[in-house]
Amino acid sequence: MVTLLRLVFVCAFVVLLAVPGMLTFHRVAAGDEAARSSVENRRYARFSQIPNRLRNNPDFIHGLPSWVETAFSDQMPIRHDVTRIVNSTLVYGFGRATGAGVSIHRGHWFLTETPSFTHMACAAPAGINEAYANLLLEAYSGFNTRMAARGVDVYLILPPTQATINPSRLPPYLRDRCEDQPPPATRLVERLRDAGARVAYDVDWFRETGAEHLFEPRSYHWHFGGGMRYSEYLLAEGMLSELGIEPMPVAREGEPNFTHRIDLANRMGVGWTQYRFFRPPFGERFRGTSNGVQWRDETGDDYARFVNNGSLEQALFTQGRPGTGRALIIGDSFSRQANFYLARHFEEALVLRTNFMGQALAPGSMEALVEMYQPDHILFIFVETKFAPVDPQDSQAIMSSFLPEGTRYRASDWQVIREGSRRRR
Amino acid sequence: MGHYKYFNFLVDNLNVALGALGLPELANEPVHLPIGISFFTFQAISYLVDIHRGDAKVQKNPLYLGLYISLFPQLIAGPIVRYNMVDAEIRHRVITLAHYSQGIKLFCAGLFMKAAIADTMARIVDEALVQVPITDMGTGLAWLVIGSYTLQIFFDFAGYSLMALGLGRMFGFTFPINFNQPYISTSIREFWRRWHISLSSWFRDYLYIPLGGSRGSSLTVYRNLLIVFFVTGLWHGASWNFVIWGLWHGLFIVLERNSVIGGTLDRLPFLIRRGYLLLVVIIGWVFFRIESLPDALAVLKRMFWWTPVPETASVLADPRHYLDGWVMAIAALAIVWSFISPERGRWLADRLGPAGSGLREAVLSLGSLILFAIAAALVVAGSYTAFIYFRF
Repeated sequence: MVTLLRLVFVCAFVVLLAVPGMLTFHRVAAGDEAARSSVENRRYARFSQIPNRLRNNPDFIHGLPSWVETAFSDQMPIRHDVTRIVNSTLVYGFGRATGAGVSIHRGHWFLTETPSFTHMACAAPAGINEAYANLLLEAYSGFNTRMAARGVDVYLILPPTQATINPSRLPPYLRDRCEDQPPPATRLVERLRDAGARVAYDVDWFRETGAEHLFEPRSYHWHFGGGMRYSEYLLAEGMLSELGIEPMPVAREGEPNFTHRIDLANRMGVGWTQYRFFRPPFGERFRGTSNGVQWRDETGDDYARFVNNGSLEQALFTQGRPGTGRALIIGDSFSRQANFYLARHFEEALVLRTNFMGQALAPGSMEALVEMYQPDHILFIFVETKFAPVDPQDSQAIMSSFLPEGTRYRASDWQVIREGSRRRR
Repeated sequence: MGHYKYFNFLVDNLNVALGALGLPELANEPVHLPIGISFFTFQAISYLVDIHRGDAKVQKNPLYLGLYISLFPQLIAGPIVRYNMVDAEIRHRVITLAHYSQGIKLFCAGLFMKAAIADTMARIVDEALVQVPITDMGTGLAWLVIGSYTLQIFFDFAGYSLMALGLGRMFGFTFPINFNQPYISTSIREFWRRWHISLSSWFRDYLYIPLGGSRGSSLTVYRNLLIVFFVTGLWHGASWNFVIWGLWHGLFIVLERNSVIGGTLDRLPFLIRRGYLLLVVIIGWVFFRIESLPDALAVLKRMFWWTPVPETASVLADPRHYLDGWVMAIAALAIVWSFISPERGRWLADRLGPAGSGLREAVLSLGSLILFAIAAALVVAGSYTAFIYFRF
């Protein structure tokens, strides 16, 4: 009897391990693969291609060859199913917060398929918290005025999320809430433009450009191809045309692939992800770790070295076009897909990602950067929900960074923000 | 190991000294640390010493010796296995269904400890320490962070060790247990008999006893103990914070060895002794986790000197931000799990019937599968946190 139980137990364990994996081999991501592949300028990896790729690809940067991770990412949608079950349980069963700095609030919805537990927000029925909008407008306009006095161009780029552009592709519980809503930053962008700020918020362009293929299928994020296409459009259609900068073509076959990886090696615990980045002379201020990832310094100015690793976080580009000036490009995760392409158009560009700045995003930090780097242009690339969030707490670090050194929001201001951020329990 | 692990540390400290003397600094190309080097080096040392002492036979088959040094289940983070423990199993292993089934159960429990408990606690620790300036950290958050780390490091390391034990069992190896409910200890001496047992026994046999052990005057014994704990700290990492952590434990080992202090401690009520142990250990984890000494002292100050959250601090400085239902449930489970004594655990298991009974086997098997399913789903869906002890 006991022997039989043990046998059943061992078999059950093996089944638990093997069956989901076997099933996924028959569930190749279908439907829009050809279109996505075209936009991303690469053939999707397949497990059947492994032997050839093994011979030709000595890339073991992530502990496992990148083609393994690429193949898993491209061909294993079951991971999203598991993720959805887990995330739904955590959110609805335990009131689980959804990620660093994000809580559960009224007006937030969750894209439970995403491994990073992405929180989604489309325009809340009640609109953006007005008190927050006033604070942001005051901080950002003040920063713009001070930069104008120094002769520095400032440009704000707000990429929309998939919730805004393709609500029909969202899960039903999100679709119902998002489909008939205006783009969340519309009103805020109007007010920013009225105050003299230069803002790119091209929702229409996304909708007209077959935009369903510019985003990752199961995320609110755009992918590399989407980010670069939009950057190309921005450069061609006005943002920097006044400087006479011709947009370079986006990457085609033969250039490095820009793939979205799940970093299988790390998930299996067999390797460290090593983020390559150049540490500027004042980089100490911005060093840090995130999610246990250890950063490694690597000096270099060849953008391809960063691109190949797909992990451009902080870098200095020095091989750009003469006479176009210095650019400081700062953004969140959406900037990651566009910044290296944009950076190549300037004589020199310093790229920084705010997700890794942590405590450095204090009042005065933006001006400190300008003082140290002395740029001619500043490009901010933040997803629309960073500037137009349902929950003001998501933006407070960015907001603070636009304030002058030595100032902080008043306690009463924070009270306003906190009241908008109160958790649902 | 001296080169890979301590070269950078040595050069950095030399450069500090040279800089103070106004001399040019040494150029240093950083040396990258091979994973698990502290563990497989110590295994190799134990083999050499045991051979030298005549405690083990020379293994003339290089494949068998290679298998011992590179045995993958415990290669990266222990437990440190002595050669004579696995000598017979390397030559001849017996793999039965019972062994295999037991191995899977251990593996499932270990994976759950890591993926569900340690990673949940890690998220609090990492988010707070990265996002909240220490000047904005109040007393509540300081305790929440260090308390969470106390649970994280135990379940992270003990989870890995249990997985290693399970994998070994599946392949016919019986590795030594590495953790035996360390937080139920009532003294630091007892803690080190329950925490990372394979390391503490390694240092006892290969360093403490050769130094003279408990023989000699009190001062000699104290010196030996402090040397052992200095090296224990350094073994964990080439950084001063680990040295401080090791010496912190060494200091209390020495104090407890003093007949007056140790005797007084032994006569105190059980709860006070338990409180003393936890306090010392938790303070030690502050130095272990926070590399900068000023920052560690600042956190300690906030833990023991009431500090409110500044009015202008972000909501991330509010401990309530981190305490959702999942965290509370996991923390409660972790605390109960940490403080169940082995005897109580056996008593609970015996309620299901004697070892080998059908009901007991069925319940433990089903429980293991549930733990595995939960842990695997969390691993797939969640963000990954590396095992803490992979870097040692």
